[in-house]
This record gives sequence, C-alpha cells and structure tokens, in this order.
Amino acid sequence: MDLAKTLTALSEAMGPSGFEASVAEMVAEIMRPMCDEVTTDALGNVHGIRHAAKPGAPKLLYSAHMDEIGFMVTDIKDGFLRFRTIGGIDPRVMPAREVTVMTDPPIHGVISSVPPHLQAAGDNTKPFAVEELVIDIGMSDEKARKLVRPGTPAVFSEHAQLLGDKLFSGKTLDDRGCVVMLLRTLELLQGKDLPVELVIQASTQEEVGLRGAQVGAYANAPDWAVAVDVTHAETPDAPKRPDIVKFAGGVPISMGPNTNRALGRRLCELSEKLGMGYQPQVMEGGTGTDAWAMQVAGDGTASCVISLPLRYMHTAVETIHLDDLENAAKLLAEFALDPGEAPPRGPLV
Amino acid sequence: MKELVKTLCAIDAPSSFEDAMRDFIRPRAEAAGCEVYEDVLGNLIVHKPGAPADKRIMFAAHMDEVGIIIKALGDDGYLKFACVGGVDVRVLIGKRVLVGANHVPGIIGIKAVHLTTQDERKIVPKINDMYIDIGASSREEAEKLTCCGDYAVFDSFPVDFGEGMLKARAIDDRVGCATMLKLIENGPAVDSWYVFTVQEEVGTRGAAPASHRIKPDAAIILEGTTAGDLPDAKPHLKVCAPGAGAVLPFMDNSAIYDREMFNELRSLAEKNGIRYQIKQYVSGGTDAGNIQRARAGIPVAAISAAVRYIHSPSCVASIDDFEQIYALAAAFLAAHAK
Repeated sequence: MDLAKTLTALSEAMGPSGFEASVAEMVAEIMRPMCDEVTTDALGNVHGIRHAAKPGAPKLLYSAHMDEIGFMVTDIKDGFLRFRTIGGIDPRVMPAREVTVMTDPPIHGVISSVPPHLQAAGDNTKPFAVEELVIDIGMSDEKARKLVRPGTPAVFSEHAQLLGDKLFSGKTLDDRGCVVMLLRTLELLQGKDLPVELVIQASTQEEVGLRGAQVGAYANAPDWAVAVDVTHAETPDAPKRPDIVKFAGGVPISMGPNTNRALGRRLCELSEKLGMGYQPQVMEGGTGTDAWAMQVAGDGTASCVISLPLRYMHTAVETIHLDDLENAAKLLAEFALDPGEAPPRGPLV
Repeated sequence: MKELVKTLCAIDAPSSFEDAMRDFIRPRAEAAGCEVYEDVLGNLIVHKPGAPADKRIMFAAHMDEVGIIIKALGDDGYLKFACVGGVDVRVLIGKRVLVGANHVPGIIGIKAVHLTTQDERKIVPKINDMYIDIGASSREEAEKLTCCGDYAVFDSFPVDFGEGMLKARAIDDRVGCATMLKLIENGPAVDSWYVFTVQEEVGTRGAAPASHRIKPDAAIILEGTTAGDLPDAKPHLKVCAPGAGAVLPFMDNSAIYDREMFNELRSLAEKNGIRYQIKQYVSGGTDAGNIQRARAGIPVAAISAAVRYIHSPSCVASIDDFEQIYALAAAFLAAHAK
C-alpha cells in the first residue's frame, strides 16, 4: 500500500459525522480484497472481517473513526450561509478558511472575515465569534437558495501533502490517519493465519459522542476492543504536560481506567519486542475515544487506546509522522497474531 | 457493621484498581455459599441462593474510591499526577499519600507560605503544577518505587471519631460494600444478586455491563452521599446529616428513583422502626443512572449514608446510620420472599 496515496485519498474525502457514506464506500472498497467479509451496519460503521484459522477463536476488534469535524448550514441570508459546527472546532481557525459545501456537485466556499481596513483598533486581538461568521459561496440569494438547503453539511477544503520526508499534513488525519493505519494492519496480515477473529471497524459519529463505536462493539461483542485514535504531539506552543507525546518516540499506549491492564501490558511488551518502544499515556478518566464507549458496551469489553501522535488537531492542517503510523500498524498486526490469552467470557447469567 | 466498614475503608481501590477489594470480598462470599463471578471489567457479581424471591433483586455498591494516578516521573524524582474521580484539589495540598500496592509514602508538597507572593496566596495551585515527593532524587530512583499508571491513595486510617462517628477515607462506598457483604453473610436467606461495581467514580462505568449481564427486575443502590450539615450552611443545602438515619433520595443527577420502590422503602422503614431521612437536595449521582437504562430498563432505588467531606481524605459518617441502612436493605429483601 502506498501510504501517502491512501492517506491523500481518505484525507481529501468528505464525511462529517452522520454523513460518512461516501468515505465508508471508499474504505470498504480498499478492505474488500484484504478481508473475508465487509459489512455495514445501521449507523454506517464499516466492519472488515478476517476469519480466524480455527473456529471458536476469540474476537479482536480494532476501531478507528472515519467521520470528521465539519459544518452544518442552518440558514441562508443574502446568499451567505449561516452555520453551526459538527464536533468541536476552534473558531480561531475559521476566518478565511476554504470549505466545501456538500451539495451535488459540491460548492466551493470561504468562511468570512473582516478586512483590517474595516476594523476598529484592537478588534484583531479578539477571535471572531462563530455566530458572526458565514460561509460565502459567491452567489446571489436566489441562486444560493436554489442550490443549498439548510441541513447541508460542509467540511474543510484542503489538499493533503508530504511535509519534509516523513511528515504528512492534511485535513481529517483525525482519524482517517488511523483508518489508514488499520488498512495497513490488514495488509501486513495478508496471507497469514490468524488465531483470532479480526474485525476492523471504521466507525461513525465519533466526533459527536462515540456513537457508532457503541453499537458496533455491542453487535460484535469482541473479547478485546482497541480504539486507534490521534493524540496531541508536541508543538512549540503546547503546554508541557506528560500526556503530550513526541513524534517517532514510540507508540503511545493508554493506561488508566479505560484500559484493561492485561491488554495494555501485552501491547507494551509487544512494542518492546518489536523494538519500537512505547510512550505511556496515563488517562485518569475518559479517553474521549471509541474505547470509552466500547468498554461498557454489552457485558463489557477489555479495551485500550493506541494513539497516533498528531499536531494541530481539529484544524485543516493536521500533521502526523509516517513512521508512527507504520510502527503502530506493525504493533497491531503483531498483537492480532500473538494476543496472549483472551479474557474470560464468563457465564451468561 | 462498624468493624467491617473500618476494615473495608483501609483497603486501596481507586477506580480500576479494585483488586484488593475483590480479594477481600470473594472468599467471604464463597464461604457464605454464593456463586461469585468476576466480569472483564472487574465487577464482582455474587449470586446468593435462597428461598425464591418474587422478582430478581439486585443490590449494587461500588468498590472503587476517588484517588490519584501517577502520570509521569520527573527527572528530579518528583511524580506528576492526576485525580481519579472528582477531587477538589484544595483538599490535596499538604497531605500524605501512599503510592502503589507497596504503600510508598509520599507527600503532596507546596512551597512554604513565606516563599509565596501575595497574589499566589490568593489562588489555588493547578494540578499540573502539583507533585508528589517520595524522597527520590532522580527518575531512576523513583522508577524503583513506582511507575507511570500506578495509583496512590490518601493516607488516612479509619478511626472512631467523636460521638458514634467514624473518620476514614472511602466511606463512599465501602459502607455500601459492607452492607452487601453483611446481607450475603447474615441477611435474609432469599435468592438475590449483589454486584460490587468498578469505576463508579470515573463515570459509573461498571454498572452498565453488570446490569446487562444480570438482567434484574429491580435494583437497590447502596451508596455514600454528600452531607452538608455544617453550622453556616443554609438549611436547604444541608442535604442530609450523619446520625439522622438511612438517606432515601428521590432524585439526583443520575436518576429519578422509581417512586413505587421509594415509597416501599419509606413504609418498610416506618413499619420496622428504622430511622431514615429524605435527601433534601438534588445533587450527585450514582450507579443508578446506568442501571436504570440497562437492557430494556430497570426500576431503581437507593439507600445512602450521609457522609461529610465526601471525596476527601477525611470523611465523617455515623456508625448508627450504617446499622439503619443494613436493616432497611434486609427488610426489603425479606419482604420480597415469595
């Protein structure tokens, strides 16, 4: 798999929470030759399934979400689109940001800003309030109303690109960078017999509340559920905090209440064995990832979070290190081949 | 009840580190002739066989307590940490803690007041600026004593206090665990289910999977709840008071309790001379919320103990209240023998 090419395709695809269908189709298409079965459920989650070599094997689920943050058109005024956000977006990254309004065919838009000439002194020291901003699609009110209806989503418009030799930048690497990681995991497992039933889940609606993963985990009832999501990588302006990780400093592996200790330990051991090391990510409560929902789905699941370090989260210029993606994929493949003993299922009461 | 609560309050079990609680409860429940099962999250599920009940009754109390998790070991040997569950950082300053299963003594220090500026004295330090001193002078030395992801608990030994009171950490919810253990060992011989839940303090996490598995027809949550009966508190903010009996909440932030069960508990208390008080304020939350919404829905009620300074190293509660809570829970169970 050409990582940069797959990353580019998925990064530039459009699929805000609740509108993932076209991304889901792309993901399913890539999965099909590498899976025994690919299914889609009622909430739009895609499940790529690799059967175990022997029946009765435990089930392992890896989840990465394919939805992205975005915008929702709420009203049209004088040809400009009023909007609210889908998921959390820093209003400071909005002014003059190019977007794509998801009509058929899509419409290119620009989020408004006020030129310096029209500002009062000191205005530029305060961020714009979201309510003041509109999406400009350069049309008359009549034309705009004809082409765009309230309820139409929009997403950041930004091309993906390499940054230097090893960094990759674009929109929606949260979390399609991890979707690509899981596709790469599938590739690494091609032609190998698996001791587990492996489910690769591309989940929906994570950004608005871990919704797809909750039902996906319930339906699959896995023995292990690992969420693969992005985490903050160091930047010059980031706070000095222990949970902010380094690029290419080892695979970030979660610890804390959302992590099954045996599962976490196994992943740490394997990353040492593979010589890539790990960065402990201690999370004292919610991890804000699919793992939080999957842990308590059904009768409960052994869960953990493997993270992909990422700079500038929830902007259109999210940036990752390709070695981090490749290393984590290797670790996930290794765990699928050598997971150790499954946690006991126990009696159904 | 007093000795049992005291024993349980001395056990370490911050959320997701409930191992020592399970190790204590499991052999006693097994010795009492119960089936015991630990699920993947660590909930300890106990089935007590007995005379048939008119419905499947589940009691729930959480094993975990609020505490501390070690986030990083500094080059200088100090530990960076976060709180597990809701802790007001103001109760941490200048306290002793015990780090990990080996109880490495630690101190949450703060620079001397002499070294502070006037402005600094007016603000509470941020948790990111706080640290635990375990006497290590380098990361290597600290690594011999603890590791990332390890836990710490408040160093607060349970002791009798004032008139008929107990001071301890983690009375929330060792009082509920003690009540269930006593029901298991000495309670009415009625078929019933007990779930010692995990991770209540980080979002009532264990309760949902446990209820999904047990499928009860009714659930009673045994809890510690906030007492606000301080001299200067406005009457409606006193909530409930240690010594005034078992607390019956009608509603909190997690659930509106089933009215029929609430009324039943109240009349059982009155009929049996069990002292009770109604929780006077809508605050806090319990496992009830997630139990109520498990499967196709489960009616819930709660019986709570009034605990002062809850979620701090030094909680205060009334020993007589523990007896009233047990009596009411036992009366409920007995009333449901077929």
